[in-house]
Amino acid sequence: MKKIWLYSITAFVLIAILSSACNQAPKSKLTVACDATWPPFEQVNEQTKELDGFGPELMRAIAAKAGLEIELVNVGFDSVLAGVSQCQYDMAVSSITITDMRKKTILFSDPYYAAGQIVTVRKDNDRIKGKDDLSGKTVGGQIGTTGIIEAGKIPGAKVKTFDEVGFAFQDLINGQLDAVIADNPVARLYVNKNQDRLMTVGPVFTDEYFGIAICQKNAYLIPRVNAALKTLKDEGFIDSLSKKWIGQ
Amino acid sequence: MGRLMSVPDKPRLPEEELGHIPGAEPSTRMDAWWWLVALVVGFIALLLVFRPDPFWNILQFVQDGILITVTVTLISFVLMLGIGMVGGLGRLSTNRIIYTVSTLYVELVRGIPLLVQLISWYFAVPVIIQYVGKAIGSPALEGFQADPIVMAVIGLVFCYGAYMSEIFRAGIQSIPKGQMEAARSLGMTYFQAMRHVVLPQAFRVILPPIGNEFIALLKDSSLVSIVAVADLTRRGREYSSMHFNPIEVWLLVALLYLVMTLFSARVVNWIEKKTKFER
Repeated sequence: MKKIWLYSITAFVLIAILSSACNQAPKSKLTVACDATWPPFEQVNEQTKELDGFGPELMRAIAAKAGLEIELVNVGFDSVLAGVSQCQYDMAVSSITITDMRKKTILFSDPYYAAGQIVTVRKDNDRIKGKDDLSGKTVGGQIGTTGIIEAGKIPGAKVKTFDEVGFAFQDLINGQLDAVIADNPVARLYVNKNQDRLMTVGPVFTDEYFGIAICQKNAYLIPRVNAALKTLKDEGFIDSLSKKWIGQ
Repeated sequence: MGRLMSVPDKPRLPEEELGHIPGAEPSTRMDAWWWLVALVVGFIALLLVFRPDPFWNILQFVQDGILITVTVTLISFVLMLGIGMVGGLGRLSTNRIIYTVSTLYVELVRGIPLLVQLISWYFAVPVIIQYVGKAIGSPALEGFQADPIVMAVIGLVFCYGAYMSEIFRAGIQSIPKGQMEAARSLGMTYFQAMRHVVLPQAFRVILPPIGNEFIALLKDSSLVSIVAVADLTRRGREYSSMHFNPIEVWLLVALLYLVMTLFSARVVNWIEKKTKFER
């Protein structure tokens, strides 16, 4: 008698698993990945806990213009890149610089923002004047970012990768790191928050363009996203976002 | 001649008479589960030979991470055995102060997630030390710089020492009181009795849970990657963030962890057999 119960429960569970696996409704919403640890471009709003910043606001505006239903998800930057290249996510808006390496596995929209890398050091440091003085120093940044790629190109520099750029800046403040390489507006935000302890040195030494990453299966989205981007640019919306979040 | 004659006179072993006695198998036998280790190693070898393009490159990239993972785990393990023993004895101490301190340590530390502890050790503790250095005017403390590996080991030992204390306490408590009483009545001091009578017996009891903790520690050592220690997990993430091939990277990283844990499980099993004692 007991065995009959056992069998019927097993059968029921199996059927439930199978039917739920087969009956998955096609996704109506597009998943857009975003690493919300990159202020002021992508961050979590302190009050609403919603994703906020330049990128998410732009993405919502594009979705409204192009008639797309989107859902923003917050994941680590290395997962953003890996996920969008494996079509785990349909799109990603995460201050992703368009690079040739990334273009091999990810499609990109037209650029929506021009930025570049800059070196941040502690204020009491008078030895490091720019990127060229970093040889033999410990340089940090966020995993997977162009800042880390640039740091890897500096001969003799020891590179430390962090999950979040905030950790790298904290490590720099604590004196356990000699310099951080990050996007210019991000570095400036952290320097502004810690004006007595941090400063940027040297010029912005790369020219980079942020694009919206699109998974290769969703090539049909590119013209729609680009058209929406162009309209938003012409309407002055991107400039107003830039004023609101970056201050220029 | 005499040796030959004595063979039939030898008393028969109990297992020969009774057949299989659970737990009394001859300890010299080869542990059959080594085949699982061999299987995983073989699988990795196949991947490296037949798909060298991603897998061999990944292995090249993560190999220093494997070394860091093993080093961090082994150092932490040795230290946490010491902490566990002291903590376990402290939890059984009749001295109020020692008991309270060790109980507080166990209760507080095991209640905080390891990840939170590791982040605090690396990002918060150095700041506190620097503040204290500034307050007492000590330039050495003020300029304190934490080494990520040292802080990671401290974090792991501090957290796992609490779990270990409870394992040691349980082991010591599992030895009948009479053992301690007998040892003390033979004139041994408390520490002599612990060292020569109780702890050797307790060690055999707690060997399986200690082995379990070692394997858990090896896996949890992946959490130290949060403080930028370039261990196996971090190296894997760095590689996959450059080449966008998560399937291959995480397959290989998982297999490498599996080899290490399966191998250590076999070693624990071997020690268990070595130290087995008829009771």
